[in-house]
Amino acid sequence: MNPTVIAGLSATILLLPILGSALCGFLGVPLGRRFVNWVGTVSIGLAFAAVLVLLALLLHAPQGHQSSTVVLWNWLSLGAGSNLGVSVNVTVDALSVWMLLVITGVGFLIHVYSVGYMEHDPGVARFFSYMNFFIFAMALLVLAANMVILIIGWAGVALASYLLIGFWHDRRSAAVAARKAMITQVIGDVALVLAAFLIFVNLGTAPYCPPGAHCPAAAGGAQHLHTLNLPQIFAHASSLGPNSPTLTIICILIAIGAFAKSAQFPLHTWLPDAMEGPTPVSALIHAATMVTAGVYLIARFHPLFDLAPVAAGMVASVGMGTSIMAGFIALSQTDIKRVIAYSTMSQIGLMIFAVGIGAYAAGLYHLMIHAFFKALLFLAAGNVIHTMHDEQDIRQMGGLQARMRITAWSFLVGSLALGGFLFGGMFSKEDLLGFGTVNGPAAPALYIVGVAVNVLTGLYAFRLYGVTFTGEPRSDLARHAHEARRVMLIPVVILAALAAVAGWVLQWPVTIAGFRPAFVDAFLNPVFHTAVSGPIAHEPGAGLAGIGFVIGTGLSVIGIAVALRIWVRRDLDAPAWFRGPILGWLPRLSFHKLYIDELYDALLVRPGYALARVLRRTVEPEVMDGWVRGVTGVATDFSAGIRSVQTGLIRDYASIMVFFAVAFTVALIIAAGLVH
Amino acid sequence: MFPYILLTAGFLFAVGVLGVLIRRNPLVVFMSIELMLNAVNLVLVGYSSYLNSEEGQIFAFMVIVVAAAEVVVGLGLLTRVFRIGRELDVDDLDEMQQ
Repeated sequence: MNPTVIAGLSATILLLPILGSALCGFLGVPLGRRFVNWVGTVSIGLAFAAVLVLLALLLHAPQGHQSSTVVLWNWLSLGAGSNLGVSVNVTVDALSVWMLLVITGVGFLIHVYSVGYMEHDPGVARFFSYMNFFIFAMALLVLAANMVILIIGWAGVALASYLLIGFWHDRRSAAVAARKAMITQVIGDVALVLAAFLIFVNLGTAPYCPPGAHCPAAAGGAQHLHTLNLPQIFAHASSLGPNSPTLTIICILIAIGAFAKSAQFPLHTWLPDAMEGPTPVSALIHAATMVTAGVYLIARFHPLFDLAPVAAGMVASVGMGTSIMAGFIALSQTDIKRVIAYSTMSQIGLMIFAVGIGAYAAGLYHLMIHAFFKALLFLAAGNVIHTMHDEQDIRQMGGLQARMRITAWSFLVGSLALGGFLFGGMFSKEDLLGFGTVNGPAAPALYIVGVAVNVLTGLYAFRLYGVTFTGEPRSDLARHAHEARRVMLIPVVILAALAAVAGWVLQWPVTIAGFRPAFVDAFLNPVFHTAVSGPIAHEPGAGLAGIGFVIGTGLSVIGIAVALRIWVRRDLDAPAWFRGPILGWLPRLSFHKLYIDELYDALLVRPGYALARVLRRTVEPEVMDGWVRGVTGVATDFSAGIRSVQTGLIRDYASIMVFFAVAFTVALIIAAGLVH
Repeated sequence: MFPYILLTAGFLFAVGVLGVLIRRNPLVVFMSIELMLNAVNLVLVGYSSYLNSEEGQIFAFMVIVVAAAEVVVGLGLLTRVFRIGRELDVDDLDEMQQ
């Protein structure tokens, strides 16, 4: 691949969204809504076209040349002789192009949808400016080949998320949710920055012989590299040796960063609250792209995680734990967007599990399929919310199927893809769960949890569908609901088509009649093989994969079927079983989100307030103000003493002058007498 | 001859100082200041003659010029004070402390 072309295309992908953001932000208000709608969507559309060109180049690149790192420019250069510096360089390989396809492709559809969703909002210029900025930051994050640049993109998406969650900033709940998201993100940012420091000290300064230079064999002869460039860091990863504690700490810090971004336990509480933002934001940032950045991060740092099995096992366990926890909570939420948010958390948990056990390609496959069906679900939910005049409580809905046919069918496709039957999720979810049968800590243990998640997924997905779209309308708003405008339907239909088809054509977890497409593995696996790394996930055998697929899909279908009987046909009153005193705590636990918010409130927020109160009421007035007042007191008393001399009477001043003149003269005479 | 000049100058200066410190009428205070200045002038001229040098006389002229300028400013201030209806009494004019 020609480096100039790669650099040009990467720069285009980065510049178009930031240009769109600037145009919408600075000129959007004077030039009006039409200008913003066009600029905001076309910039992302053109960026998507550039990504497609990159994809074509990548597919035609010869074997072994499918990864290209180019330096756009040197940003910081410290010291002439040393290599200490930061350059803005980008890596174009299968992994970054895969992510860019999701970011710009799904991002473009969501931008088009936003034109319709924000048609009555006066802040549309601000909205598109933030959205384009988000695409820029996310593209920077996945293209970065230097840890500093990566962290800039990482913080940039957090900023965009903060701004968009708090988009309706005059709503107190939105402002609070934005703040909560930002604080949680910053915990992850700090962990990532600490990881960067540790990497710089332990890996970034390894002895290094530049290509073409003559280096003596002794270590002292080699130059010392000071860099945070990812390819060089990865090349040195094995220098620490397997199971090195340093590497484990680095990987755990990176994982904490990933958990904060991807809403994994215990840093997950911000994601449901983030639903305060406009629905396209939830679709783009809090379902399809930003929250999956943690999955990308771990996949990108796979040379380190491959060598730190303890950290990787921790990642896999946390992912699976979050997955089942979020699935359980999603069962009883009543806000349409919060149900989908918890489902996102659960699905990302599965992806995190996949990258934790080394099944990187499977995790990223699910990432893309999930982006399709979850963006679809959010946008379809956005249609519902739009026609319901911002009512989000599913208890007020019902019977929308007859009133919004296209939206309802699309939502059904999305629910099936999420539930893992016929569409999308059946392929990608079973693919990654199949790896769980032979990989990961205590090999099939997490797999068994995973198939339990399948049941929960089927249940909550079709509970949401059933309660929202079937039965009788339960409010006047639902009775008067109508189908959305075409600009909001077309992206939904395209995403439904993608969610329905992508799984069938891209990759199957099992061989059926000797036939098994595996384009995703073929495309992504070279990225994960080329590094000097230890083992990556073992493929499950064909028989085991088949059995796993049947069990997983079977349990998904059971979940879906039970949900259909409870909430669509309504001939099975399962919730009644949980109303008794013995099991009654289960729905309560689910409805109150396992009381984790309350726990954090009691453990962190209230002690924080209490501490602040003590500082405010005691420490500040007594201690801090005390010594300040002491200092000013000395000065005040001193000046009060001096002030009494200043009477304003000329006579007093003249007397003092005369007194000192005489005293000086007398002293002079005495001194002169002493000298002689 | 010369010691008497110095004694006269010292006497004049002491009278001036006492005048400034004791009298309450600003005009008299001014006159006392002039008295002190002229005492100094007398010393300068006396030393000039004693040392047979003209520098002292030149300094005396300088002092006269400065004194004239100072009197202009001072009397200007006094007329303003008188115009605004204040009694001309230095003990009464103590606003400087504020």
